[in-house]
Amino acid sequence: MAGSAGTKPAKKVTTFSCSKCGAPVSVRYPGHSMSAVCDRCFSVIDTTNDAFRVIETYFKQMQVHPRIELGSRGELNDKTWEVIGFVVREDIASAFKWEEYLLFNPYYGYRWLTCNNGHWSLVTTVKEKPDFSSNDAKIGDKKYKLFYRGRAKVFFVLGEFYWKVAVGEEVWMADYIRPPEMLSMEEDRAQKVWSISEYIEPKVVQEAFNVDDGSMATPVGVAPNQPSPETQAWKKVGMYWGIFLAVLTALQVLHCSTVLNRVEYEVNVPYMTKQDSTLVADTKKAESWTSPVFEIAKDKANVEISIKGDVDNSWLYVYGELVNDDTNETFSFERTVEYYHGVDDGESWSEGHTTDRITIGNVPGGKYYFNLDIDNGGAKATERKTMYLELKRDIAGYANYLWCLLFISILPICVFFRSRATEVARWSDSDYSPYQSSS
Amino acid sequence: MDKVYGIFGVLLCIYFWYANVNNIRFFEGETAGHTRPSGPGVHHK
Amino acid sequence: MDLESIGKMAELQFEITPFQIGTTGMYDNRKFEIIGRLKVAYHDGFWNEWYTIFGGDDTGWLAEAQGFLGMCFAHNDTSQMPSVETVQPGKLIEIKPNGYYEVEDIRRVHCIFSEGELPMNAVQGRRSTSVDLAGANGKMATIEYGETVRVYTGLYQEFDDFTFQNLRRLDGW
Repeated sequence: MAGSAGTKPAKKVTTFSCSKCGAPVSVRYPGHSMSAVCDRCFSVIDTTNDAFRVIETYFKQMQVHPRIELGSRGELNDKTWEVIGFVVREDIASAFKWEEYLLFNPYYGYRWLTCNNGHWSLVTTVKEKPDFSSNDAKIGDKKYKLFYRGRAKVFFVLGEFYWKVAVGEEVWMADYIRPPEMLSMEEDRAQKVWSISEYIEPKVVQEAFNVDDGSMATPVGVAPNQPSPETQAWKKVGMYWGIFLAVLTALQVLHCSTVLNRVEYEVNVPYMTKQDSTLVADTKKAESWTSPVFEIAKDKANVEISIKGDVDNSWLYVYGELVNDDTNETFSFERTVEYYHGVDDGESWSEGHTTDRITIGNVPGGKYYFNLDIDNGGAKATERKTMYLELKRDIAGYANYLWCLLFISILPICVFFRSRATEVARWSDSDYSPYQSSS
Repeated sequence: MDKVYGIFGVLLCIYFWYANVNNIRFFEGETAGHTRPSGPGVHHK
Repeated sequence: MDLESIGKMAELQFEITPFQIGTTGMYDNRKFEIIGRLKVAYHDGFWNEWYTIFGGDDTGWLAEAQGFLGMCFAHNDTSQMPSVETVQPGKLIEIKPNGYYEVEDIRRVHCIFSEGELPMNAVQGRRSTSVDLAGANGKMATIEYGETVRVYTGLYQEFDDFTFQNLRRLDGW
């Protein structure tokens, strides 16, 4: 198969005189083409008829120039195609027009190249009939979403065609999309034809058919079947995100179910309340208290120390040391609990808590005791009270899990919103957009 | 981008597991608020 | 429309089919050879039916129409076929045991040219009504309503999948 990209083949063409105006009309593929258009008077001529009957005459003032020269050849998908026909079609409801170029290869038959808002697609007729469910069409495993439904008519023709083309010819059309593909239906009284369009970058068309820059249109917006790098990225990243969320959650569940989470020591520590209204805790004025020795299990794990104070419009401050009885390794901590409440302007309020806790990581197992310094203030009376102290060994942490959820989600959320923006733009021309309410 | 994210995610999962097993906390430090009494704050409705 | 004149015009001088008698190809892992041809005309065009012989005595028809290629074989059971008057585009017809097919189009056809070896019933000038049907996964069928009803079933296949050899040379291609 010869024919290099963008060249015009030196080949015999069949020529006859236009029955309307007498100008020579060329037919390149008479055995295949059923009609041809006179490029002077734009009459459509029946080429299967010896008398070259004029199917219809047309008006020159409506002339549209094809972007790709008729007769030029180009290579698309490793096959050479010759442009033999040109049709401008119009959506009847919106008067929106698009161009279709009929391509021919004697071995591979016909294809269409469509140019819509500067976006190009290569169209192949398919014999397979899709299955339908609500607004979706399915061929095999591929699901296409309804994008357009309407009536279209032929607005302008040039070249030759494998059927008897007529300007004004109306068809019902429907487009279903699955970027980079689009499944289209065309129905007239006689038949229903299905085709699949594949998006082609304008540059590919331009290079294949040697189209000069001036003839190419700048693509407008997002084409119905234009592949979106954002959406492709979202499909993958979104899938990974789901997997990672599941893995992290599973690891967290595993973590929670394997921790000891056991109270190793609990005690009520006595202290005297102070009416002192100062808010400065002072370890020098604090009461000291030392616990008996207790055992902490496990080699290495965290401990959670909880303090519950009997505070009521007062505060309780604890400076504590968790001391290893064998090694004297000391883990110190400070905690304050304070709780205030009252009524202002008839509205009751409260702030603070009577309990607080601290988690200390990496505490070796062994024998331990507590040293506590307790200070307090704001009490109504000086009296004897107790505070509750509890040490829990090896509790499940949630902070790591939450941090992981945050880290793993930042990128997918950004990618999702970018993809969504593209899809909203794509569907903005459709009456069937999933992104807007049907109004 | 999806590949970089995939590698990042796998590493994060592994580190999360490692941190859980070895009792490591992300951003280890005092995160639990004040340790001194602050008294009743300015109350807002 | 004058079908005779179509025949005259469409004769071999305008022929750009890539096939000829002697072309071989593969279908269903079996080699076949083209031994004859019928050119059929209808109101809006023509198509070619290439008569093929497989090893042994099996014969089939390679239909070449508007760039589509389908290989089909005579289907023996024609008893269940609906009458020609009831057939309409879109109608589902069951051809046992293959399943359901949808009617694509119905055409009054006329054989305008023949060459090579052909079965007894294929004669030039014969008129009939040809109903094309399409099934799932590239399945196709043709019902021919002439003096008798004949059914052919087969598959559409891509040009390259036939791995044709000894094709006709086409000027400029």
